[in-house]
Amino acid sequence: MLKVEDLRTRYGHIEALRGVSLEVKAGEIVTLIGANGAGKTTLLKTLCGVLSPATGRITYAGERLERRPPAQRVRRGLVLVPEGRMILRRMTVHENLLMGTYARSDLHRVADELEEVYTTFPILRERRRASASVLSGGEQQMLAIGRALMAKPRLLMLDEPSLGLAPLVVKEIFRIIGSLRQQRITILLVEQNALQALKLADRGYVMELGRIVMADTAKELLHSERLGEAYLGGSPKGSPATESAPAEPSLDGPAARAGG
Amino acid sequence: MFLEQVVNGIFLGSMYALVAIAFTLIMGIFGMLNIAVGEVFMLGAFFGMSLIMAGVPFHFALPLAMIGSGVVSLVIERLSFRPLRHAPLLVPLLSTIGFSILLQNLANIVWGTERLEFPGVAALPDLKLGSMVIPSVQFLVLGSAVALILALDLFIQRTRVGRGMRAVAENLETSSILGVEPNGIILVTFFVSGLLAGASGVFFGLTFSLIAPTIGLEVGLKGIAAMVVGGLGNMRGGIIGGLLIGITETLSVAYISASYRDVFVYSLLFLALIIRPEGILGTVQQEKGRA
Repeated sequence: MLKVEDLRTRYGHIEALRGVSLEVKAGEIVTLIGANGAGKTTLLKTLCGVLSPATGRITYAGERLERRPPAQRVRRGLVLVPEGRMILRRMTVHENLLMGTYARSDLHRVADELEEVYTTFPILRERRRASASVLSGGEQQMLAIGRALMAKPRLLMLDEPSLGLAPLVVKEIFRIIGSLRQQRITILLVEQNALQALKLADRGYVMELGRIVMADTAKELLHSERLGEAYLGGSPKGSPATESAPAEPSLDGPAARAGG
Repeated sequence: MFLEQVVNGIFLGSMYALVAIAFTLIMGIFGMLNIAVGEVFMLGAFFGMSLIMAGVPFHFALPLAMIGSGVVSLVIERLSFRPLRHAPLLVPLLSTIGFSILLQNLANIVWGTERLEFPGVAALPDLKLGSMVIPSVQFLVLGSAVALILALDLFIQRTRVGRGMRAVAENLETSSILGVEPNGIILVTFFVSGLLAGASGVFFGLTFSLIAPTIGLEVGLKGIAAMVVGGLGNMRGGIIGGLLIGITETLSVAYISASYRDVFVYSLLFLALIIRPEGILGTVQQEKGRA
């Protein structure tokens, strides 16, 4: 469904992606893990079109995308739930959800998705007239996911959906992401919470310093020694030591920060 | 007498409010002034004058003059903002100052530098309230200004494009992730800004009957002051600021001296900046999404 080949993206002179190749097949949940600054967010931003790659190919549903503007990618069902949720704080919850449909041309059918999103996230229905700025971190994340679902995604990319959320909320978010598979949505999940992500995913990629350094099934990665040391327990190099606790894995990602 | 002056101030203020909103719309998207809004206002007045003198009835002349001003605003975007999209914010500000000078001189060439008479259109009887006489043209002006502001509010709050405008103003990157095409939204915003400034120009001509190419600078600066007094980037703030400045101006003309009116208007601005720098309706500016 999505094929990325030798993708390179620069910020000025800094090469944040140094030739990334990966593939996501229809129906899969693929996770991309790696420390802060590995280039995960840069990759997603390049995929959704906010950043332009210097070189490389992005093929999605048989079509080259790397020069297409973000709106056209959204229209084709390639939708990002951005890091930090990026909800529109000056709008209501309902208006935020409507913004998810902005690129769609079948606006008369929006009511169905709206109903579906409100069913998935009852709290959003309850607070639909409230300003999005008063939502808690977890509610904001639900709103960000709900908003993305309003765009009718075929491939949903999520950037650190668990960041800064309480363990119970993280669990709920992961449950919902897992349930999207039933709606035939393919998922590319970027996470620092590697253990949780790999438990959910079919396959995983590991990124370091702008490159993919490992790629395997999620099961293999979970048992990989090298990964275990860096991301799943042992002291990770160059990243906060809170990724997950060795014995009973903690669910709350790097030091809980206020969301938003 | 006092009440009459306050009422006059409200009429004048409604024109400033329109100009303030024209500034606010662009401020919301770029976080930067488009100084040339004042000249779009001035051109609106001249378009209106030329159309009415050519025999076009007022209810067609007003929308036509507004559209003409909207098109001028689009030209400003194309030449003054778009080529400088990635330049530091001060650069487009300077280029719009340059554009203002250009537009003012163009008006000098086309219409001359002398004050010209704006033809009257009112056919309604004036309103008498006790000892107060309110010319019907003022009601025409106020009514149209209120209608325009309400229409704009509805457009921004209730339509898809209006939501897109708000999204782009709040966070450019987020809006493009959601599939908003920022270029389209920017064009709509400039056009609407031009419509409002142009309408205000026509109203100014109707009210004062005399227009000259220099009115753009004069009223433009007051529009900016109104925006700052009311609260930056806030439409309702622009309305309140515009009314306050209009009332201050008419009162100082009536009770002190016409030649010192600007002293009072800009003193109000200074006072606002000292007492409430975020503006009357302003909230502290938080994140301004530019990544």
